Amino acid sequence: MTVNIQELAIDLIKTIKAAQIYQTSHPSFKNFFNQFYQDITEFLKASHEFILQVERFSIRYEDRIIYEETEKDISVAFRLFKDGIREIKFTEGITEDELLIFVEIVSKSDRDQDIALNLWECDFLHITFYVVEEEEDEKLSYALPELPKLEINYDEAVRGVLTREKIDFADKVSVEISPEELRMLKTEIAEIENQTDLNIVISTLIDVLKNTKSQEVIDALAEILELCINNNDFKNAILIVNYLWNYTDINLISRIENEGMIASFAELPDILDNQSFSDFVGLVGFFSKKTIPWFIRILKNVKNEERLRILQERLAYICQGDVEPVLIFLKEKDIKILTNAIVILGNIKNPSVIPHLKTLTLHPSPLVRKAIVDALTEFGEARMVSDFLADTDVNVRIKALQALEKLSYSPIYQKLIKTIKQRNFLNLNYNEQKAYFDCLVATGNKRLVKDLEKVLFKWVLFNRQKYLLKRQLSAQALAKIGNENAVSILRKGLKKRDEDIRAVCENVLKFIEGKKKSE
Amino acid sequence: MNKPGKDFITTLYALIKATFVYDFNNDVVVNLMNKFMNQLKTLFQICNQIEIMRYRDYIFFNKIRMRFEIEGYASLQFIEENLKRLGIKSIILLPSLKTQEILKFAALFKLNREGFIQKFNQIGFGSINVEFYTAEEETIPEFLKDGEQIKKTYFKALKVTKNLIQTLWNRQPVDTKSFRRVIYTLIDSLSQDEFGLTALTAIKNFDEYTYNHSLNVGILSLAVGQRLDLERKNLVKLGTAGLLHDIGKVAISKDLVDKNRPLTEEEWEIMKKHSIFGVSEIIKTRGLDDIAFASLLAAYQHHWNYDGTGYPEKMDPKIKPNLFARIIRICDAYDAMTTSRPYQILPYLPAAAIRVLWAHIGSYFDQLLTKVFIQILGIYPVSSCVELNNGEIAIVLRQNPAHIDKPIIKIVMNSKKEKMNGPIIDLSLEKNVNILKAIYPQKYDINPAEHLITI
Repeated sequence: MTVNIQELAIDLIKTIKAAQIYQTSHPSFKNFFNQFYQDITEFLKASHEFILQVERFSIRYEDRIIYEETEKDISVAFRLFKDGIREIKFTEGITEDELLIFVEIVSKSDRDQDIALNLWECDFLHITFYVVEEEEDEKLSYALPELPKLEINYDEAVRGVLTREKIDFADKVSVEISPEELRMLKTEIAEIENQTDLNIVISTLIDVLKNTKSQEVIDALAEILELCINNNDFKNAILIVNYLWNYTDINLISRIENEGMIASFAELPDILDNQSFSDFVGLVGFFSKKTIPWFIRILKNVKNEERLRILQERLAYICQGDVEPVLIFLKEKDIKILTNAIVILGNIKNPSVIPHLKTLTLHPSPLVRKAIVDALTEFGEARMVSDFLADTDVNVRIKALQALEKLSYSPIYQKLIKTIKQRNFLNLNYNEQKAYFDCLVATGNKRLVKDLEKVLFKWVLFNRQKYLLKRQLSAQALAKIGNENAVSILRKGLKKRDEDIRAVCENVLKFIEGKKKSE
Repeated sequence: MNKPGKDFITTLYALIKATFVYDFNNDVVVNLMNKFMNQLKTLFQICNQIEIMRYRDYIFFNKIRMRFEIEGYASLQFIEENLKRLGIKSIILLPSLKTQEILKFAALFKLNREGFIQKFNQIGFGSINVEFYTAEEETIPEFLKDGEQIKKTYFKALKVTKNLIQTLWNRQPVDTKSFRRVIYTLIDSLSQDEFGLTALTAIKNFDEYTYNHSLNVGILSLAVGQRLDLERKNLVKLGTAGLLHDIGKVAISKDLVDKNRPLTEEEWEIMKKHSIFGVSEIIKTRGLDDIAFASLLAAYQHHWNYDGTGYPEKMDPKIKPNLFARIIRICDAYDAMTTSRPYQILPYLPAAAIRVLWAHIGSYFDQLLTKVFIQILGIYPVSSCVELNNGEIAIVLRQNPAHIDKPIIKIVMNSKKEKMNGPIIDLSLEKNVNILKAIYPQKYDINPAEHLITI
C-alpha cells in the first residue's frame, strides 16, 4: 500500500475545510480534492474499503484517532455526530462525482442541514454510512385496537357488501402487466424524474385561490413567480400574473419588482428565442410605471432592432399616457438612452411632450434627431418633420421623407418636385432619391403623373448615366400609382427613341405584368 | 434490482422455459444459451462464483436481494416459485461451467423435487453446486426475526406523524427534520423487507384514524413506488405526499373530523374541502421545493378519479391526476374501506376492498397501478381472516410475492372452530390446503392485530 492512512485522513479533512472556504470550482479546492480522490482510489484498490468511526469530537480509523476538533462550530466530527452518523464506509469503485457530492454535503455549515438525510438522499453506490436514531424515552408500547363488535350476522354482512359493490370473490383477478402498460408507465416515470410540472402546480395553486383566498398560496405564487422570472421561465410567470390580474388586491408583480430584477433582464432581448421573448414582452406589460426608468436604462443594451422596437412600444403601454417617468430622460447624455426615451414618448402619444421634443430638434446627434422625427411622426406633426428635409445628415433627411410619406403630407409636393427637378438632385444617394419619389407619390397631388412624365421623358445631354436612376425612379413611381393614365405613359415610353427611356419603361411594365400574373 | 442480477435471472428463466419445449439444438435454445454464456463470462470477470439463493420468499443474487418489481416480475416469480417447489436453498455456478452442463441442469427444472435431486446426483455437475433446505428449515418462520425492528419503525413513524398533525392542528411550528427522518426510515425498512412494513398497515386504530390512515397510506404508496423502481428522491416525494395527503383536514374543525356520527350533507361538503386546504397546509409545513410541489399536487388530486370524476372540481379537464396522486388514490381508498369509520362501523373485509378496487379498475383507479397494488397486497391481504377448505380458520400474516392467492397464514382455529395457537403455513407449499373464503374475524371473536403485533 503506497498511501498512508494518516495522509488520507489529512487529505479528507483538508478537502472538507477547503470546501467550506472555496467554491468547488475554485482551483485551490480542486487541488485538495484531486489529491484526496487520487489517494483514496489508490488506497481502496489495495484495501477495498475505508471505514471511519465517528465520535463526538473525533474521527477514528481502526484504533487510531485521525482527526480531533473540540470546537463545535468548526468540528467536522461533531457535525456528523450530531446528525447521528457513527460510521462512514468508502468502498472500491468510488467515483469522483460521489466523492465530490459527499464533500459538498459534509462541508455545509448550515445548522439546519441534516447531513445524514442529505447523504441518504444521494443514494451513493460506494459510500455507505451507519446512522443512529435518537433514543426514545418511552418504550415501544401500543394498545392493540379492538375490532368493532356488532350484534349482526357477519356472513350476511359479507354478502351485503358483495351485493352493494357488485363484486364476486370468484371473479378472476389477473395482475399481469402488458408490455404496452409497462412502456407507458416507464415513460411517465422518466418524465417525473426529469421535471416538475410547474405549470400544473401553478394551475393547482390558482384553483385553490378560486376556492379559498389563502395567504400561503398567494405567498407561494409570489415565490414561484420570482423563481420563474429568475429562470427565464416567462411562460409560467405570465400564467401566474395573468390570472392574478383579476384580483385587484393581489399584485404579485409589485411585490417582487425591483431595480436588480429589471437590471438582470439586460441581455435577455438578444438571447431569448422567439417564444420566450414573446412571453417576456407579455410579462413586461404587467410591471408598474415605477420600473420605467430601470427598463429605459437596460434598453440601451438591446442590439436586435425589431425587439428593441417591440419593447419601446411595451414600455409606452405601461406608461398608460403618463409621460413623467420618461421625460426626465430628455436631459440624458447617453445617446442610446435619450433616443429610446424619445421613441417611447412618441409611442405614448401624449401631445404634451411636443414642446419638449422641439427643444431637441437641433441636438448634435443625428440619432437623436432621427428619434425626434420618429416621435413627431407619431403625433402627426408633418410640418415640423418637413423642417428636417434641410438637415445636414442624410439619414435624418431620409427619415423625414419616410415620415412624410407615412403621413401623406400633401403640402410638401411643390417643395419635393422642385428639389427633384434641380440638377444637384442627381448628386443625392439612391436611398434619398428614392425616398423623395416615394414621398412624392404619397402626396397624391393631381399634377403628380404629369410631373413624373416630364421627369421620365426628359431629354438630357450630360450626366446621362446619373439621370438614368432618376428615370427609373419616376417610372417606378408611375407603376406604383398604377392607374390607366400612369400605365399609358409607360407604354408610350416604349416607343421613345431614347433607349434609356425604353429600357426603364419596359422593365417596369414587365414588373407590372408579373405582379398581375402572380395576383 | 441490481442490473446484472436482473438480466441474469431473466435469461435463466427464458433458458429453463425453452428447454421444457425445445431440444438442445434448437435455435431458440442455442441463442439463449449464447446469451447466457456471455452474461456468465462478464459476471465471472468481477466475481469468483455466481450464487442464486432463496431465503423464504426472497431471492438473492450474489448476496444482494432481488426486489420484486413490475419489470422482470415474471422471471423472478418463476425462479422463486421453482426453487421453493424443489426445496432449493442455493445454486452456485463456477467459472468452469460448460454449455452442456447448464443445458442439462436447466432441463431438470421440469421434474418434481425427488426427481430433481435424484437426477442431479446421478448426472454429477462439476461446476454447479446445489444446496437444499431441510423440511425443518422450511417450516421455521425465521423471516419474522426482524419483526421487532419493523414494528419499532412503524410505531416511531406513527408517533412522528401524530406529532406533526397535532402540531399543525394547534398551529405550532412543525419539526420537519423528524418528519424527513421518518420517510427515510420507512424507505429503508421497505427496501429491506417490503412485506413486513406493509403488513403493519393492517393495524387499524379507530380512535387514531387520522394518524394511522396517513401513515398507512404513506407506507402503501411507498411499497407501490418501490415496486415501480422509483429513484430514491422520488420515493421521498411519494412517501411525503402519502403521509401528507389528508393534511388539509387540520384546517377543518377537529370536532368535525373526529365526529363519531355519520356526517350531514353540509358537513360532508366541508370535509371534501380538505383536498383544497391541504395545498396551503403543505406549503406551511414544507415551504416550496420539489417535495412540496409533489405533495401539494397529490393532496389536491388524491380524490380525482382516473376517469376524470371526483373532487375538487377540475378547472382544466385536460389535467389528469399525476402518478403519485393515482397511487395515493388507490392506497387511500383501500385503507379507508378497510377501516372502521363513523359512517362505516363495520369496515370492508380486506379481500372485499381488493375486489372493489378491481371492480373500479380503469374508472376510479389506474389500471396498471391497481394491478401493482394487488401484486403487493395479494388477493387476501395481511390481517385477512380466512376459512380454509379443511374448515380451519387462519389469519394472513404475509404475502407470497410469487403467489398472490397463496399467502403465509397462521391457523387460529381448528376445524371444530376451537381457538388454537396453530402453526404458520406457507400455502404456496401446500398441495391440499387452500383458502375457501374470507370472513369477518369478529364472527369467531378473533382480533387479527394480536397475531400481527406478536409475530
